[in-house]
Amino acid sequence: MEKKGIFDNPRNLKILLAALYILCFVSFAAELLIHKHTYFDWEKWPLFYGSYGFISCVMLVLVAKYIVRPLIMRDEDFYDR
Amino acid sequence: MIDNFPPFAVFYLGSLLVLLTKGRIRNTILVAVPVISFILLTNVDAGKYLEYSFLDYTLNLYRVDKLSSVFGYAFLIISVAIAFYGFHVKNNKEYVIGLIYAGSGLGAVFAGDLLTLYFFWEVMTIASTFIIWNGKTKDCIQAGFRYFLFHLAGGLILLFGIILYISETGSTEFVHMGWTDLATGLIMLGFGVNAAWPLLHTWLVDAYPKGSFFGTVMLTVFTTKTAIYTLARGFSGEELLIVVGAVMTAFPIFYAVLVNDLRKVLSYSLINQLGFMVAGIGVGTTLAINGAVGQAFVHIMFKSLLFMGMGAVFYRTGKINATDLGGLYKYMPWTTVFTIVGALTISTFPFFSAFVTKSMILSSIAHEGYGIVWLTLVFASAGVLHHSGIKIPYFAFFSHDSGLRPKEAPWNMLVAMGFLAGLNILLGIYPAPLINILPYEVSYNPYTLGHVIYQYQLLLFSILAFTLLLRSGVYPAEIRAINLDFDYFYRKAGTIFMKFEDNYILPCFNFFKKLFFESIPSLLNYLTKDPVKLIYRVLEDEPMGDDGIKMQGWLIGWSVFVVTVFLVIYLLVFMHF
Repeated sequence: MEKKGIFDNPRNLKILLAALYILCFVSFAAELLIHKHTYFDWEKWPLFYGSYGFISCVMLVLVAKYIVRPLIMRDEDFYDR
Repeated sequence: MIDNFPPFAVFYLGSLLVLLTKGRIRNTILVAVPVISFILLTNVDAGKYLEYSFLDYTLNLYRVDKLSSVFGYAFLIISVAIAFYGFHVKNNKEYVIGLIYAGSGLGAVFAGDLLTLYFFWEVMTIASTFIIWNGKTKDCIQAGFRYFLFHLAGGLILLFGIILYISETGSTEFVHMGWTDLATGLIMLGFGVNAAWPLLHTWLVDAYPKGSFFGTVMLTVFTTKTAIYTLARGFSGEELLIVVGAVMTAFPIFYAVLVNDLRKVLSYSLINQLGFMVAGIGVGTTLAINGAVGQAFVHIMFKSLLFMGMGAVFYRTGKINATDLGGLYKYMPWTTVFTIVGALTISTFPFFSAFVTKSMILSSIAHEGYGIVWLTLVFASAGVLHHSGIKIPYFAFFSHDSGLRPKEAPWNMLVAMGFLAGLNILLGIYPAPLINILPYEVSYNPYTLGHVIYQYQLLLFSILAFTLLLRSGVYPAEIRAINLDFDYFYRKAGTIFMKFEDNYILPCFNFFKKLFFESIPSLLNYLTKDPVKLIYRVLEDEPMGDDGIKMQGWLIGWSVFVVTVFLVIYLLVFMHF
């Protein structure tokens, strides 16, 4: 039985992505308005959390794809041979 | 008296009853067992009950205090959910073992002394092995054996440590001990095996993804969280644990990006979550312990929810690899929603339960000034969002259309998942009930404006990274493959040992077996046979009748006698030199 889902309409996906970009911007703007209580100095840098999260994820994926995978990937029957 | 009836006894009793019943009666018992235990537990005052004497040691079957109660409550709440989750499973076997497994987990956290703890610890190992074997494929059986060997080794290390500890201190009581000498070191290592410490973690990612859709949910709750309890009880404030915990949070996320089997992704993510708890225990301040214990509590709720979601997908489609799944949100909408709630919780979105407890851990680490550990943990938080928060729901329910057209999960599974999803949201919005049962009284408010904004910023930009990587095609495609983990070395060592045994040890044994049980006896037989009768028989050509049987018996007797003589000579020689 075929069903139509909300993401079968490309417009909805675009709306979702637009919402993400806007929310990212809002979270950055909100940071500038509040007074900061922090433990570490680096937390005071503007957009520290956003950039750390972004860079972490990109690094994570790149390291996993280009360094870890070539080292550890084997055929599915590796242990059965 | 009835108030002091310990939960494990209710579970063991329930297990017996489940063995004898089926259908609705069985399901009623399954729900009644944890509910009754819960009521009993809430009515019992803190203290020690059911003390008894064994080999001149005072043992204590039921110790109730704040630390053990948190784990007790969590185990009982999740038992209700798991009971619902498997209502439609006709076969009683998994439930019978499951109740013993859960009961032993409860027995272990309420055990007041080390020997009782060890007993329940080992029963858990055996019960959980049977749950893995219930998956029934060849893979499950083999993984079950590996799992069992691993825990047997861990259990022996623990037992050795306990024996040393008791002989040194003369006390069996399980209290805070800290790593001071060999004995306590071995005990900590024994706990560490079950807490899936780095390099000792391979049993978890090997065995957990191989259970049945239902068995795996049970497995993920009890073994590791009991280990977290024991570490919190015995080794809080042990600085080594901070480092161990930080490593545990970081390394599994690289695997989680690459692994294809979604239950394996969750297994790696489980280690990552345990890492946060272990690190919190290592810090050891009141806030940190509260955070670690609270994290264990909510982790039981949201991780089971995620495993239940993937279990439902596995149950309905028979597939669990990211490469085979996708587009299911149209066909399993409720499962999708509940899994997303679990995903949002594990990613520590504000207003979901884990945000409260994980913030406690991170704040306590920052408060003590462990900068690098803090950065590692925040990096790992972004990683969690990435693999559990996004990868799990995205590849199972969205992504490309896999062509699968399954039915929605059965109602009882949805009830179980809905209950847990609701609980995670409730405790996120109104955390007071959880904070009240934590071991220490600490005032902590995670919902400051700054903290919430920072958290959203971290998460939103991580989602942004995932989206951009995916849309640009940089994100690695899932591939059907094995990703080697440290168990490569265990398996390699095992294979080498078996080869050595086959080529050198077995032939040696074979030679002695032949010599003592075939060559020497047959020679003796030949020599001790009555030569006259033999010749007479040959000449008369008489068939061997009853007499022949008697003669055989007589010969066996002779052989045994001769072997005994050999043994005696051997012993005498051995004792003299």
